[in-house]
Amino acid sequence: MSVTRKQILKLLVDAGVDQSVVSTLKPNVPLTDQGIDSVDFPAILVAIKEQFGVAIDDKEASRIKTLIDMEKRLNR
Amino acid sequence: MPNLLNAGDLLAGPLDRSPGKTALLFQDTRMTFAELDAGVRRCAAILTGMGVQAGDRVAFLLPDCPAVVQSVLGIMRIGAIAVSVNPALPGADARCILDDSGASVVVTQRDVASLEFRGKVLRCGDLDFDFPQVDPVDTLHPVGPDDIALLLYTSGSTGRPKGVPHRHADLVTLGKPWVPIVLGDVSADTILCVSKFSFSYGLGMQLMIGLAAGATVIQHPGRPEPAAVFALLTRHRPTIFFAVPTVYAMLTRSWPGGDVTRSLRLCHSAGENLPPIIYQSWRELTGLEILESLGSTETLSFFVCNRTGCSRPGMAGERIPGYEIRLVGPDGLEVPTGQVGRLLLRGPWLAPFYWNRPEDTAATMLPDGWLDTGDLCAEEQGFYRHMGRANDLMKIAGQWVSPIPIEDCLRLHPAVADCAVAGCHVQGLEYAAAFVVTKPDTVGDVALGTELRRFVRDRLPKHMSPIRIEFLAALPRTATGKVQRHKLRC
Repeated sequence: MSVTRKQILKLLVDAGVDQSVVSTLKPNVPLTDQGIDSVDFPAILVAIKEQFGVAIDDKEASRIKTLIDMEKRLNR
Repeated sequence: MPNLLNAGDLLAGPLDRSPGKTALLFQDTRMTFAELDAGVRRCAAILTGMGVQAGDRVAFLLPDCPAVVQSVLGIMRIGAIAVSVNPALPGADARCILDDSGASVVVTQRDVASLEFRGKVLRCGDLDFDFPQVDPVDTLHPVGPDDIALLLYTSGSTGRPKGVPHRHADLVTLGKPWVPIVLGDVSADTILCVSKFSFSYGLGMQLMIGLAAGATVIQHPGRPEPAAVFALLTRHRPTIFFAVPTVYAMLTRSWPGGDVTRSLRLCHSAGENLPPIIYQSWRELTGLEILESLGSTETLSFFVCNRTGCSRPGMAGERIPGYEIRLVGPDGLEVPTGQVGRLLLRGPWLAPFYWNRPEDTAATMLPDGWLDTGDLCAEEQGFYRHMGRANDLMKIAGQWVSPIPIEDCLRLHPAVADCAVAGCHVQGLEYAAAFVVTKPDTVGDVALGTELRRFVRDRLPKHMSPIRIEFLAALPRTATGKVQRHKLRC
């Protein structure tokens, strides 16, 4: 499938991440260093499953650290 | 002289004082205490003729009607054990109860072929039994203080229903500690209890508290839909109203206007947490407090109650004298004031064991008479706040989290009609998931889900924010209206 960055950023907001955090995300910096925390992450995984139909298992989830990692996984 | 130990003689007092007084209001029928008592004795005679003996289990599978009162009292009168089977249960569940209880007779209006019941059937209508004339039974079977009168089944909010027996001695004294404090003298009252006779709340309030004191009881065989409840309030002008929180919620959402509750002097709630928003809505509409109380099928009576003039929304109430309460942590030690602990209870009227469940009995009926209620509570200034069932707790970010405060928060949102929170697992860790029923004309979509998550996050600690919002047409509930959170876990 093809998922754009814009779609991913919207998904992050839908999952509950503050817009102010999403707007300033640097694609290569770990998300956890940019205000996305341990409660946001599972919400993001749930939103990915619900909106894109992609189930990311535990092993794959542990390798998603940045926005670019997420784009690559969703566009695999 | 009445046999003070046999609960089948609960009508003795009002029968002596005012046999011509209306006991039951059922549709277009007014039945006096004398007429009701005649039906009780007739039932007792019929069952005796059918070969029922003391200790036998006789199930009643009936809607709320005069015949159900006659059946329960008639069964107890001859020393048999009345087994409650909710008529709204699916056939498989009813079959389980009949099998588990070992009932040899079922009193019912419906065709029981599908239940594969191998015992005898006593068919009845709403007012009488489908049986030829028999000589009434005037004598009570002598019973001892430990003899069982009643077998109720739990509503299964956390799993398979369990049989909960109660003694004659407990039924005849039920209400003594809390009724004078909370309800006062009810002998001149007209009671509307929309909780059904097949459950401890309905049976307790209608029979053991209401009829036994000489009150008039309104019976409604159907579902407690708002239109039906408002019609009963208008027609019969009850003075006391008993209902579970779900019914209060429906009534406030369907309010017809006018002074439909003007006859009421007291409103009571039990069976589930009463959300503060519902308490406040009801008070704005009626001017009346809802007195929430805490009890269970196992305790039969209420051990924590709110009282008129000092009720607190969101609190189950204060300890009723005669009961001892301990709130303990996982280590079994009492927790400090304000902290959540598992509620242990000791006092009168507690069920002595679970029927056919020795392991559950050992786990719940503890040494020295303590009962592990499975409830979580916190105590603040003598008031107890119910924090849900121990089984509903979630371990989030290393902290035990009750679903109750999250649900109360979500209910404050204008789009939310009802909700429940249960645990869900992501990457092996547990988080809160919310299941929401929106108000009419409100669409549950991604945008609303995002808004609700943010709504909770703005009001509660972040780890309590649901990571997932799912919209449902209805929440899974037991027959008594309790939310079955365990069915929502994922």
